Amino acid sequence: MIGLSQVKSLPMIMLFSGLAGLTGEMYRPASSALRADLVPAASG
Amino acid sequence: MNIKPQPKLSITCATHAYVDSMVSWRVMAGLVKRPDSGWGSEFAIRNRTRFLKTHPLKSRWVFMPHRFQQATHEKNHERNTSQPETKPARVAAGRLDSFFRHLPEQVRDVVLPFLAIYMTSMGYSPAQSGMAIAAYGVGSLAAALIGGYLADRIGRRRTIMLSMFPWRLP
Repeated sequence: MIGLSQVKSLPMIMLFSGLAGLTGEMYRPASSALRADLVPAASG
Repeated sequence: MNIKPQPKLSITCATHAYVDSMVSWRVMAGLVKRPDSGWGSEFAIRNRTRFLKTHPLKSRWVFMPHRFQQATHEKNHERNTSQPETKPARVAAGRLDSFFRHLPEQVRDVVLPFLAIYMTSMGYSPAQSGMAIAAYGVGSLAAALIGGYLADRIGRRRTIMLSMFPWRLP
């Protein structure tokens, strides 16, 4: 995010935007798996 | 625990079975206990709730006789009391996870629309602005694959930490 705010050219903006998406969303599978273990099974 | 219905002539209809789906994140974070809801809840038995909507958006109703309600209540009560208390470490992990889960989403929702406005003001065309925003989606696509692999290889908590620290730099 800091780098994205500093670049001006289109290729660099696209590169840093892609990197922001890559690092910003990498937590999601791990987070979903962690939640699935934390929350007990639903009551019937 | 045998719960007797209150002397009431009217039949109550309720959709409180789905209340727990609205507070699930609070249950996950350890802020509240899992609510007593559904067919076998004390509320449903006391208020003679016999008809329940299967889904808030669907018009299908089901009928639950009292003896089935009582059996469900006893089964839920035994299961809830037999479960051990949530460990503080797990509660802390849930809160940490909730925080990390919402922070990048909030920032992303703010940054991406303003990125398009910012690029347009810098002289780029709307198509070029859209390409820059699409690059974020491409990165997300790769992140789902890499994140799942890393979560299995090095652990979930480390993957979350690994994702959050470099996220501030690009």
